[in-house]
Amino acid sequence: MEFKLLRINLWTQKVREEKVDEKLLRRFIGGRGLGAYLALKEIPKGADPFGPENKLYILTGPITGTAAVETGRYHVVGKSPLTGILGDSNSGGQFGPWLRFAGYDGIVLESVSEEPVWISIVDGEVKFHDAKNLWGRGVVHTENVIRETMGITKPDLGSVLAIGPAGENLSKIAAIMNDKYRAAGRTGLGAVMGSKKVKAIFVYGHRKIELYDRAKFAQVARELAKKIMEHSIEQALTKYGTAVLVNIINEHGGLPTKNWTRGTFEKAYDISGEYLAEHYLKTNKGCWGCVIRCARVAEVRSGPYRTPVSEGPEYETIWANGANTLIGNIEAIIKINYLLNDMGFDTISFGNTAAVLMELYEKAQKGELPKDKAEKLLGLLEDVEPTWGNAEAVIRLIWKTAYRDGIGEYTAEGAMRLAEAFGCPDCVIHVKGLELPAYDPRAINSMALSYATSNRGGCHLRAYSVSFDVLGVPEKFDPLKIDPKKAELVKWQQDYFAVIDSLVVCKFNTFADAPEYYVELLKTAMGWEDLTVDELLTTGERIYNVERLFAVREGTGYHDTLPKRLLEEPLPDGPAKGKTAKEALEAYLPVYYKARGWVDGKPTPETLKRLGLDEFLYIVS
Amino acid sequence: MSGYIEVTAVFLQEFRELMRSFEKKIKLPKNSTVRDLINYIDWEIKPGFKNLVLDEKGGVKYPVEIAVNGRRIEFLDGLDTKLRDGDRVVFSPRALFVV
Repeated sequence: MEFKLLRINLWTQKVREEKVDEKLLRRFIGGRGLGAYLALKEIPKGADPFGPENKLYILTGPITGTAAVETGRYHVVGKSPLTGILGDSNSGGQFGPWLRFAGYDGIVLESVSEEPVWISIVDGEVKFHDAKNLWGRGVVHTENVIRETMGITKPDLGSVLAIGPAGENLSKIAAIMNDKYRAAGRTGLGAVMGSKKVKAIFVYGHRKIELYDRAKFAQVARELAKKIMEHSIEQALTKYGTAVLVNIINEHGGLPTKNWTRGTFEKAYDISGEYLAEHYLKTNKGCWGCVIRCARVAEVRSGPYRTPVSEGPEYETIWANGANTLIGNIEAIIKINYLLNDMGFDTISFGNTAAVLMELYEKAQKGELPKDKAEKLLGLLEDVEPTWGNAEAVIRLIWKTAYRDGIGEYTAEGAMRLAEAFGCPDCVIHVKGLELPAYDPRAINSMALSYATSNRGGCHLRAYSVSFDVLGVPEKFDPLKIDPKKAELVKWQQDYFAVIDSLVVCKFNTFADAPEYYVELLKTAMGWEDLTVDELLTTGERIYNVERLFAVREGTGYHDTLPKRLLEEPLPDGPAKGKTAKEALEAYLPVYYKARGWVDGKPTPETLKRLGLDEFLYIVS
Repeated sequence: MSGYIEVTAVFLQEFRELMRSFEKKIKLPKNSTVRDLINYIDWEIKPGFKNLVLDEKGGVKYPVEIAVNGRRIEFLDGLDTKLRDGDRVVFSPRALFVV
């Protein structure tokens, strides 16, 4: 089956089609895996993330946009300006399928454009459009104007991928947005798109997706859909959205609060999925081909946080901009979520950055920062008073960060650089420069390993070990007890999730499915009839090693550890009171490295040979 | 009061809708267990609650989860876990839960 990339040279505005060799596709599948391989081959060591040498890969997978459930996603890959290593992110909505219908399975943005442009791809035809009238404008306005220009205003037809002012102004925590409210948020790739001066991409078309055996494929897809719909976790996501986790993780003592200084938030219920569903939910919504439909469509009708009908907020957004900043008002969080989406930010990174600013401000007031740093900070704040729980200050900070105004010049750089600039590097909770998401590894100890060994930095989606430490999938573990089996499960999940991100499929499937389903789907979609579960998981392992090689080659980002606060400061409250993440990380890391065939975070030559990655031996030898 | 303890029962998701409340303070005799709490709720607050939480054999019905102070009762003494004054007992209708 054909898998076509559209390579766009932005400097020359020349485009060319490239068919991906099927053997290469089978070794990396598509999406995240193919992107990682191409990035390692094509982006030179030491490339400036904002320079012409960096590339942005926007990729689907071999079953994207098919009848199989949860196949409406796409994946973006490039060198991250936030972490300096390989960055990637994943988003739902409908952009992935419409890109394929438009004629291509992936786009590679190369070089940089001289002037702001937006690109339309309709039934294989590529056109460049002047984007000066959109530069500086929000994501919602941008999509509306592009749809009017193209004459396709029905939201279900075609799709718009866009950046907001955050990406244009090279904020290192900028997201790539699509369908107005969906975000490929992590690792700052919105700024890479901004550096290339590409404001948006519109896709639409009528290409039929080829499948090797359509009838058998449909049968497997139906079985998977049934299994997912019957699973109790999926039912909770349908009814309450991802924010169903707020109460769960809070009761467990793992909801990071006040910039990770506590594990429980007294106002958790007020910002929970249950509360949101009862008071603000207009309806729920799904991505392309979704049976779970976890997305929230919410509205605040009146008051200071009046917000039009829009999607969200998700669990991570609620946590980062709620518990972590001590904002316990869901109306304020809905407003913050809307503005962050419109300005094009990663809501996790932004919430962490706002919380760091609040801690810096508190320390400056108490005389706990170096005097010159404190004076500089207070001088830059102007009309922002970042006290804990101050939603108005966060709202002002969104604008300032998006347009790099005043303190925004520093917050646009992300939490790590903000904390370092004002003399408190230990105030920020990050791994490899990427701010951590909403699970405290002091209370869910397998997450210590998941975070530390994540190839893109602090991330819950490389291995979502919350699934076995909290949710009981595939089996239940005690999250406070150290069990070496968890280290092996983290490795297994990282490999499996690399496959999921390469297919590109929603990870919520994994609560109910198993690799066997994807073996059958790939057999019937691609004709790979001798494919096995072992081969698929080895493919995941190969992808994980290629990502790691990018960091090893850069000479940074392969030291697997956690921030000082998590390793040395015990949680003061909740079920995990008195716990740090140090003991767990020290226990798990050797088991993990042995299972991976790595030494000190680096793959050994033997491991690379076993995975058929001989061409990259030069990086480790 | 010396013969009694006060615990907080917490109801997540559909259980919150059923109980019309997220949290309830409940007084129980000293040495009461999780099972005693379920019986009390069934008798005094919401008839039928026990049938939603326990199966025919008296065990916890799948996929319901119960935790005391954030710890799943299966890692404690199950339904016989003794409650103390100030304990927080969480009931979730499904296995999307804390330990």
